[in-house]
Amino acid sequence: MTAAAPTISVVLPARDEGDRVGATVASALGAAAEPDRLEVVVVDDCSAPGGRPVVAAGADRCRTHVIRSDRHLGVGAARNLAARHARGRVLFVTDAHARFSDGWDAEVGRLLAPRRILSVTIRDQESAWRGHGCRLVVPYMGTRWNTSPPDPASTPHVQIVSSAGTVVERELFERLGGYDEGMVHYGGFEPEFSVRAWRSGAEIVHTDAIEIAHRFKPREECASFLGTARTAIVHNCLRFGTAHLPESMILEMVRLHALEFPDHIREALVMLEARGAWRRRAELSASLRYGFDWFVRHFELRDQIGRPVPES
Amino acid sequence: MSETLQQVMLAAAEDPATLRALREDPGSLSDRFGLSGDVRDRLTHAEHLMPQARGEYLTITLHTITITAGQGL
Repeated sequence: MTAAAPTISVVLPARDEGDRVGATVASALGAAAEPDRLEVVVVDDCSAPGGRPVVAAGADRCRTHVIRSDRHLGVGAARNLAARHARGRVLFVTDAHARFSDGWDAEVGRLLAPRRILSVTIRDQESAWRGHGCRLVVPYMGTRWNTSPPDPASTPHVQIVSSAGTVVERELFERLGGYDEGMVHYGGFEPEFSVRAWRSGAEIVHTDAIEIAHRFKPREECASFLGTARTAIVHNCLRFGTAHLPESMILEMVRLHALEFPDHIREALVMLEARGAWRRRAELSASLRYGFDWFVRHFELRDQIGRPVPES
Repeated sequence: MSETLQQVMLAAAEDPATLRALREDPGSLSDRFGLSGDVRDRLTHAEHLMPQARGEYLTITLHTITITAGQGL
């Protein structure tokens, strides 16, 4: 007898996360109203031998598929790979160090709709801090957390959905093309995915009914990590902006990064050309339903010092 | 316009003097590539977008480049 396909696939990339993965899997299954309708797909993104994902024997392991990559994919390509192995109708994209709120899967069933992406609340495991989706910072192409929920009097749209709590029907994820694999390693994947989703005609709706408690790295761990990821982050920001910004903001963005990160800008620009950022812009312009202007108008977006964003 | 912008970025990637001009002398870079209007204005004033507090943009969270009130990755 063949087991029924799961309804929800929890997908997560893991690199040197070790037994944190097992705790995340245990939380996802343990907090679910109907764990029998779930699966977890973990992509081991070339972890060192001591850091490979560890999942407890028994039910947790039965419902978990670990896909090993011997090449470092980066978070975007790793999530895409996990999604390709997922069998659920719904993808719950999260991180390897997360805890789920009780009944989260029932809330997914209640709130998700076609062409809708759910943004769930992210809570710091060590404090009372909560993030309710993010908003875009242009032309830097970063994001700022929303630290209060959307106005309950209106549709709770948010600009950017967090990587630790992105819920989307698999069909929509595939139609959008998943995360941009022209980006590398780390940084910028979720805001780019979010802007592309909006421009395609999807919506991102925030909910406080589902909460993911997330382990934030200590400050010194962040500094070490960023030291290794900085060139990739600069490249990804530039690729994101080249794909979506009005032309008149693109060189402004490049100069901003050149001033801020003089040791990384040249290599980032070389990568940008090699990975076809301008071709990507043309493809998106031809295929997406709306221009970036629509996103600007929908959210009354200003630039990072409060000026109007120019028309494309 | 896209072709011109791409040429500027490619030149900055390949030529250290162009990259230096991008950072330090955007007016001459604009003259060289014939940039005008809003493109030129925004390029030449990009330093106004630099963070006011040192390291503001280095405080990053989650898998986004996110500016927060002291949260880590």
